[in-house]
Amino acid sequence: MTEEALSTSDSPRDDGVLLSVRELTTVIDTPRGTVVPVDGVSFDVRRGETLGIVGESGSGKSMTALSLMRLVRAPARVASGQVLLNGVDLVQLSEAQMRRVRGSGIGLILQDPMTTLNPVITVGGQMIETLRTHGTATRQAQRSRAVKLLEQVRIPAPADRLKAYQHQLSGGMRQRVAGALALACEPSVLIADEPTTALDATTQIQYLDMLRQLQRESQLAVVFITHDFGIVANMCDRVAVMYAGRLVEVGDVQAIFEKPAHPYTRALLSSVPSIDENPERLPSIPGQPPALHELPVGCSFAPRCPLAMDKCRESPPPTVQVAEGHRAECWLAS
Amino acid sequence: MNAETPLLELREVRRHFRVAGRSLAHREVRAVKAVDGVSLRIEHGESLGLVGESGCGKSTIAKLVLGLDTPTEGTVLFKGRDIHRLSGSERRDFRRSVAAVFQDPWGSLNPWLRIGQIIAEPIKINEDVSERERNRRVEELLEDVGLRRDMARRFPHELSGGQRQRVSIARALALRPQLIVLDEPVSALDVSIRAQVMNLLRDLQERHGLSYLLIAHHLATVKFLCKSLAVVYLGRVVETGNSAEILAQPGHPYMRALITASLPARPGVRLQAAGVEGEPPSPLSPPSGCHYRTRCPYVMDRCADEVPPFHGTDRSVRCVLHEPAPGQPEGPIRPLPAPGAAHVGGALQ
Repeated sequence: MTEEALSTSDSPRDDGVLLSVRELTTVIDTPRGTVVPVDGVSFDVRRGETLGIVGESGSGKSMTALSLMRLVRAPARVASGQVLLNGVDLVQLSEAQMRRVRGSGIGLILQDPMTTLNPVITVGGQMIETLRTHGTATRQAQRSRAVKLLEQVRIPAPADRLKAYQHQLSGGMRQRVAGALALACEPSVLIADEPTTALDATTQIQYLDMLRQLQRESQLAVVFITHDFGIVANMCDRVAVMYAGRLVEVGDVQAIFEKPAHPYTRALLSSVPSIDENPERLPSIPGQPPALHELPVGCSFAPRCPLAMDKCRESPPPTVQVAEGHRAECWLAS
Repeated sequence: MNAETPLLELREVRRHFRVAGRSLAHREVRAVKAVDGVSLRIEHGESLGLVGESGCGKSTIAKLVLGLDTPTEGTVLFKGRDIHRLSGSERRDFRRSVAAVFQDPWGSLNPWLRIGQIIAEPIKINEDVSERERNRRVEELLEDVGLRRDMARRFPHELSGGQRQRVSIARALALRPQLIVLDEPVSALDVSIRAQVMNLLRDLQERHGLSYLLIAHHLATVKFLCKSLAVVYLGRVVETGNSAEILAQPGHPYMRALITASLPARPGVRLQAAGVEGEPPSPLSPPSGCHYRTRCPYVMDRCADEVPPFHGTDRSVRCVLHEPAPGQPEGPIRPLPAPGAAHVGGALQ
C-alpha cells in the first residue's frame, strides 16, 4: 500500500490532525550491523484525541517517543520519514528550531519522575526556569503561572509546593509536577511514556483521571505509550500495537478490542487475566519477542504465530485496510 | 502434628521500626508500624495472596515469614512451631520447607554462576549427595519448570526475563519445599511472558501440592493463583477471605477502591471515580481509628475514635459498616452501597 493511500485512509488531513507521522524509521548502528528499533512507523493524532502505543519491552515504543522529539542520540539516529506537527516536518528542523518545539510544541512525560526533576532545584525553580526559557518575561508572571499549572494537575496547596524539592513529594505528586512541567508552555501534543508505571493503583487512577480532564479542557493530542491494556481501554481513542519495531495494527479502541485483526493483538489480549473470569489456564504466546539483530526474514511474529504460513516466513506481510481507520500488517487480516 | 494445624500461621504479628525524631525540640523516638497486629493462616496445600499498595507492609510480612526478620511482638508459626524458637534440626527443616521467589529476575541470580550451579546451590548446602545425583536433580528441576536441560551450562545474562524467572522458581523448588513465598513474581515480566509463568506456577502448585504466599498488586494474578486473599492497608489487614468472593463483592471500602482502580482491559467501561481520594498517609503518623478513614467515601465520625474490629461470618472485614445491629449476631458480609448513597445509622442493615 502506498503512503498516500495510508494517510488518506488513516485520517483525512482536514480532520484536525495535529501530529502526522509518516514512515518514521530510526536505526542504531552496532558492531553487529544496523538494527531498526523503529521501522516505518506511520500514524496520525487529531486534536483532543489520545493514541495509545502498546507493546512489550523492546518493541520500540519508547524509541518512537524519543524519535518524535528528536531526542535519540548516537549510535541511534532517525534515518528517514517525517514527523509533521501542524504540517511542519520536525525531522528537517535545525537543532535550534527543534529546541523551541520541545516543550512548546510537544510536551513529554517520562516513566520515572525522579529523572525528570532536578533533585537540587525546587519545584518552583524548575518550573520558572522552563517558563523563562520559553519566554514568560517577569518573575511575577512566571510565579503565578507556575502556581496555576500546579493547580491544573491538582496539587493541593500549590503555592507552598513551589518551595519543595522532589524528595519531599510522593511518587504521585512528583509525576504531577512532571506533568505540569510538560504542559508549562502549552504544547498542542503531549507524549506520555508509561507515566503511571511507577505509581500505585489508586494513585494511578487519580493521575489518569486528571490527565483525561486536562486533555478535554485543552484539546491536547496525546500519544500514550504503555504496555497495559487496561490503561489503553480506559484512556485511548485509538490504539497502535507495536511488535519488533513495526506498528502491526492500528485502529479505534473498540475495533482493536472487539475485532482485533492481527494474530499478535488477539494473542496479547487473550493472555491478559481478568478478575471476572475463572480460567484453569491462561492462553499464552509461546516463545519470546525476537532480538532486533536477529529478526526473521518475513513477518517478525511468524515464529510465535499459531496461524503462520510459508509465505509469512518468506516475505514481509502487506498492510491490509481492515475497515475505515483500521489497518493490520498480516496476510490473514481482512 | 495435628491435622488441623495450619502450615503457616501469623498471630497478632507486629513489626515496628524505630525512627529518631528530626526536630531538636522534641527528640521523641517515633515508630513506623510496618506490620501492626497481623493474623493470617495458610492451610496445607492452600495459597494466600497478599494485596496492597507500596509501603503497606506486604514485603515486611514476607520477610517475617521467611525468618529474615524478627517480629517486635506476636509469633510466626510454621506447622505449629514458632519459627524464632526452633532447635538446630528444626531450623534446618524449616529452611528446607520454605523457599522464596523474588520480583527481579535480574537481581536475584548471581551473574558469575552457571544456571546449573545456581539451582544446585541449595542442594549443595543442605544435602549430602553426590555430584552426579545433584546434576540429575538439576536436570529434573529444569524440566519441571519447562526449560531445556542444556540451560544448565548457560549464564543468567544469556537468558530472557521469563527464562530467568523460571530458573528462580527451579531454585526455589530444589529442596522440595512446602511453602514458597512469591514476592511479585510476574510483575517484571512482559505481558506475553507473564501468562506462561502464571500457568507454570499453577501447574507446580498442583503437581507438588505446594502452598504459596503470593505478594502481588495485580488482583487478577492473585485470583488465578490463590483461593484466599488478604488486603493490607498501612500495616493492618482490612479484609480477608475467599478471593473470588472478595473480588466479586468487596466488603471493605479500600478493597472496593482497589478493584475500581484495577482498570479492566475492556473499552467502554470508562474510567470512573475510584471512590478514593488523596494518597496513602505517612506510615509515621497514620490517622487514628481506622487508617483508611481519611480517604474513605463512607467515613463517619466514629471512624476516628476506634480501630474497627473484624466483622462477618463468611469472611472478615475490618469496617464498622458491617457491624451487626445491636443485639444481633454477626452475619455474612453484605454488598457495599455506591459511595454517597445513604447508609442509615452507619451500618449496612
